[in-house]
Amino acid sequence: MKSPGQKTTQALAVVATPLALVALGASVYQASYAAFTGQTRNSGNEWATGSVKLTDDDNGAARFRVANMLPGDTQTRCITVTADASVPSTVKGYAINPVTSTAKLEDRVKVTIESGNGGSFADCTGFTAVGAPHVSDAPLSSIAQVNTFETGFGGWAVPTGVSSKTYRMTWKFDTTGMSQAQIDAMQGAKTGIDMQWEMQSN
Amino acid sequence: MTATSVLDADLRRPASTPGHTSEVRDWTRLAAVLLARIYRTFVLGLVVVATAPVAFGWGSYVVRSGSMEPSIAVGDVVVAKPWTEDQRVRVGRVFVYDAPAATSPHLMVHRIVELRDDGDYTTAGDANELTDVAPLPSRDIRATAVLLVPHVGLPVTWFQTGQWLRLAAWLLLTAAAFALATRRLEGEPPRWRLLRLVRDRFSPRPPRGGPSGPGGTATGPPPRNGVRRSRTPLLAVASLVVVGTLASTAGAGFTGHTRNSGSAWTAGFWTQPYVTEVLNDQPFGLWLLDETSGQYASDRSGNDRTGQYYGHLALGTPGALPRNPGTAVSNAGGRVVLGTQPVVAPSAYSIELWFRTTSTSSSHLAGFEDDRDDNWRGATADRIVTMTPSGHITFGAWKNGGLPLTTAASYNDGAWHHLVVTSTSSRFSTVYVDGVRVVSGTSSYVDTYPGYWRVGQGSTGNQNGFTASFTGDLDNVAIYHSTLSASRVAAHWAAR
Repeated sequence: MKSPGQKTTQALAVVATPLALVALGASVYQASYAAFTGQTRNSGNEWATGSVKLTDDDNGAARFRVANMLPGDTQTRCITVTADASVPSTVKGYAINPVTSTAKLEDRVKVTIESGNGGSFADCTGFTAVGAPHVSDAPLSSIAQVNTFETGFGGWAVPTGVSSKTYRMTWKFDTTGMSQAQIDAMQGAKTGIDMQWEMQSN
Repeated sequence: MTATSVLDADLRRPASTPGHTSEVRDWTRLAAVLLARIYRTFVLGLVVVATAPVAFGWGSYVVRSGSMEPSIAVGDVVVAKPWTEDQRVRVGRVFVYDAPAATSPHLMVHRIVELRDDGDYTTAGDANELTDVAPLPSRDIRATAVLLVPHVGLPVTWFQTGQWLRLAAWLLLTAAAFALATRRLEGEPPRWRLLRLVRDRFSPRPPRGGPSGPGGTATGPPPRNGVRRSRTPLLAVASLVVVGTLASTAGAGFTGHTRNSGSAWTAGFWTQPYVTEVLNDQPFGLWLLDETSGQYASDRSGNDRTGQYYGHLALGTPGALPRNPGTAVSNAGGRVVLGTQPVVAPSAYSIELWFRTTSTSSSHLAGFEDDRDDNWRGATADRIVTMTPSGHITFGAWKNGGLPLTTAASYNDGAWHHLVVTSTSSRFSTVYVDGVRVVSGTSSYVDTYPGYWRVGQGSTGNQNGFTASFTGDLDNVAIYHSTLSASRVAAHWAAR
């Protein structure tokens, strides 16, 4: 083996910098081309390893479908939300698509939302609340104001991996403090709301 | 000779080894210096590409999170051209924008995937299964991503996320590589004039006679001085750090969401406006037929004329009145006898009930009869409302050659109908259906005798030997020993 000669050394030294510049250009071009000229994003099952997924166990059924509701009626139900996170994330709940009524029924359906462990969409049995309720006896009309992730309730810190939380929701048709005429004016009124849970990576 | 051999070996080794090691060392040194130079050029080049556009008013954004993977990774730098309202937004391209609906403002790098009907855009991270929830109004768009400089922002993300070990390791490695890269190779002229100028400034030595020309005919290598040499790479790395702290970042956060849709609450009806209207007319009895079990039908009029269910009928089927809660009776050969004690047949009276049927056989809706049995063929019976097989309502068919009143329309259409028959003491009778008078006139002669009001089943004529039953639903039966006016019938209908 011979030591590198002066000519070899010089040639290599001269080539090194242009080589690096070509590689640099190529890598910037390749990355830009791949990222910024594609017209569609991934679809199907090719989600990157970093994706996050949030699901619930309602199988498409509405949590509450209450017909012929009478003053004083109440009902408690659960829904389990499952987060599959590859990066630490935060889950919050909020309301969308409120249905209002001229009789202001949404002011009189009061909702309490707690979260905890146990229970499911099918059956609340075994639910144990953790912490204070997110909302307590709040009318649907005020829950409808909580309609973005930023203002959402909960703030459930999801670690990497799969974790679940059950939300227990109780509503009651509360006519306390109303006159009989005001109460009777709400007959046949209809109100509604959709609940949405959103997960964002931290 | 063994000793000699050993001696030979011992002799040979010192002779050959120094030459061999020096070759390896020379090659290693050459490779290391060249690699360091390539690395230096690469890093500085990336930094220049990532930061130079800022001089033209463009933006460079270090990507903090990985929702655009695999096309954009954490630590890549997005170079973006400012976007103004007059420019077109091309769906499918990547944009930098203010995260909508965020209370703490921050920039996002996501792809615009849809133009919504309301003029806003839908964004999505390539690695997110679902699109972002909050729509992006065009006024929040800041820049169009043009260049992607890979990896160069990694130190910035390490700095921001507190990954000090990685950051320190990278700084050390880079400083070392830069130091190594400045080593002159054999026969190489000093070429970094600017660097040498900078070096000379910080050098305690007096400056040399001036920089050499580009071709470089420097007079011999400068003396090696490790302390002096290490300053340039340190400066370079320090300036990199300064550039890094000036970098703005943009998030490409992962999002997902799930929804429970369609929860609805519909208030029921708890007042009974229909009951109120009926009671205003002082009925003989009002049987709502709301029982869901048992054999007695309670009388809501306050006259305590409890009715009784007989025969084949089912209680608790859905009621007739939309605003008055309650259930109905599904009759199939049964009857309800209205009161446990016989009463004297009234001369003026009204019969009111709700029915629903698709029956095509002769039916007995309601009537007065001197017994409570199902098929007593010799019964005295009159004041009978029947339905023909074709669904027409007939009143007054209880005497041979009598004066029956029959409706022109048929009502066996499967819908609930409100039926009221009124009759004065001079036998002027009126049939109302659904609140409206449909036929009236003088009806058949009636007898005066004690008996029972009954619905659903009974004799179809006075001692004619025939009985019939009604197959269908019955609800809210009221009997008046008075003649309801047309306006009162309409009021009852309106309160349904």
